[in-house]
Amino acid sequence: MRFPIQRVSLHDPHGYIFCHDNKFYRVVLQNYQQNYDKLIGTNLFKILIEKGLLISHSEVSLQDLGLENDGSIYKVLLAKQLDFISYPQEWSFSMLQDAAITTLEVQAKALEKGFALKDASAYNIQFQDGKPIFIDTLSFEIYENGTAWQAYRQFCQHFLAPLYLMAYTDTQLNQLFGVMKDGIPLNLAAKLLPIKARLNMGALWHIFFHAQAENNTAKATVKKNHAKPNKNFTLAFLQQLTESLLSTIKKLSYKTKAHWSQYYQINVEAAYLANKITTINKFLSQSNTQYLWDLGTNTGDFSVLAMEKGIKTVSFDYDHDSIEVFYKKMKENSNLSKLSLPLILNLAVPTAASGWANKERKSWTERNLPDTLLALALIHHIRISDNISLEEIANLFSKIAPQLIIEFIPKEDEKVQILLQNKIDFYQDYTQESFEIIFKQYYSLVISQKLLPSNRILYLFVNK
Amino acid sequence: MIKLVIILSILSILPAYSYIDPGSGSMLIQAIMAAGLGVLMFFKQIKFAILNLFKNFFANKNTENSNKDTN
Repeated sequence: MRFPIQRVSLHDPHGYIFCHDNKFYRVVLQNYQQNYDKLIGTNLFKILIEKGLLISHSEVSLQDLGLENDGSIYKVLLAKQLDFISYPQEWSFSMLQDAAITTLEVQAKALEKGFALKDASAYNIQFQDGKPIFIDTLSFEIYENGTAWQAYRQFCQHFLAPLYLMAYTDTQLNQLFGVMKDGIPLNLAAKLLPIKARLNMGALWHIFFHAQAENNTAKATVKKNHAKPNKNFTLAFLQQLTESLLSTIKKLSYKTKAHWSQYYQINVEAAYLANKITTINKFLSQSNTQYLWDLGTNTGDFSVLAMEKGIKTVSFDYDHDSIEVFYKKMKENSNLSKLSLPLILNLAVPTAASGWANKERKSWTERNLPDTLLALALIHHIRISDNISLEEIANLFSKIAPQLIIEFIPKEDEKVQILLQNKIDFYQDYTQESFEIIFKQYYSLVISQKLLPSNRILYLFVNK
Repeated sequence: MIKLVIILSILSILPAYSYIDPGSGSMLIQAIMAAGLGVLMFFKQIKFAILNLFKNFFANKNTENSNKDTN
């Protein structure tokens, strides 16, 4: 087979990723040779990998893969394979903040060895084993004195703008990542931020003045010939800028509000909770799960049960603060955090495929699917709040995972009544009997158990 | 803001030899920060030079005194 084969990444002129035999490889093109050799010579790769900042990789031979070199390829790398790819609109404030810090730590180490990051996209970070890690091995470029940091604007758009917007305006604005091409435009961030944000020096310079400078230069009718290097742009300046950005980002904070994030502490009866925990543990053991998705995870109390059994877990909730609380809780528990990935996702509008031709970033269900789905106290929300039929729910769940642990909350339950209080009851199908008939069309029932003293029921299903 | 534009217009900026568009405004804002850092370093150097002068002056005086004492 000859190159180019199907590329997964499209923008970088120095290389690309391709998928071969279900593994992801990175091609280093000939035009990156000088940078690549210096990266090896200065040990920068080695240092970053040892510090856990950069994904590890090994060089592989094209011949071994049964592929032919068309002459453009310098090296082929096999990087450590990621468990699950997530995107910045799915991260909570602290996750994006940690991703920003990792990017700047990589930049600081690169500058020490005479390199600078040529891009600073949030998509260059992934969460692996509970920690953010830089995954773009070809982002490094030999720094030339007299040049500014080329990726400064991108860094501000991908990290500073969304972080300030989440801290000062609303955490939901992080969702803009899903529809914007390259982070959040600075002029848009400047419009959305409140006046008090101007009192923050970091926001004033990196967002407001920066956006103003962008606007002014965009309006200029005669473009200046910028041929002369600026002697003020030195490695020392880039180091100062990196340090200043690092301190700005570390000072930013976000305080969670209670509602869903304290749901299980306030709203749930202890006996029911104890019974639920025992039953979930039993079903998890019975299902022989290796990799689980927890839908509507809240602050991850039940994901933890899976992680305690050594099960890798990706946990989703639409509520930012619940995911924020969960992520911070996991940061303090190094053993469990290795198995954990909490993400923001609204099941009614899950992350769509995006980028060029919708093929650069995958939709929610195109990514690494689990062997078990956990859906606790969830389907009444989907059926009654989102008006999605039980048939649709069963169909989707059965396509995601071969095993399902699901809780049915009957209509007379207080929580369902709250959802119904301002609605006409169109939900005649929402009964235990109908639920069982519909789900049994897609699955075989293994076991079910009532979670006394409530009337709620937990089911373990497997695909037919 | 007018001042900002005046400062921006007198600074020279390197072209964007990058595959992502670094943005002219981003180059300008970095130029201001770099110039500001340069000015800061200049004053810091003067401050250290003056402090050193005083340090040396008092250090000499002290050695003179201690020399006197030992004499």
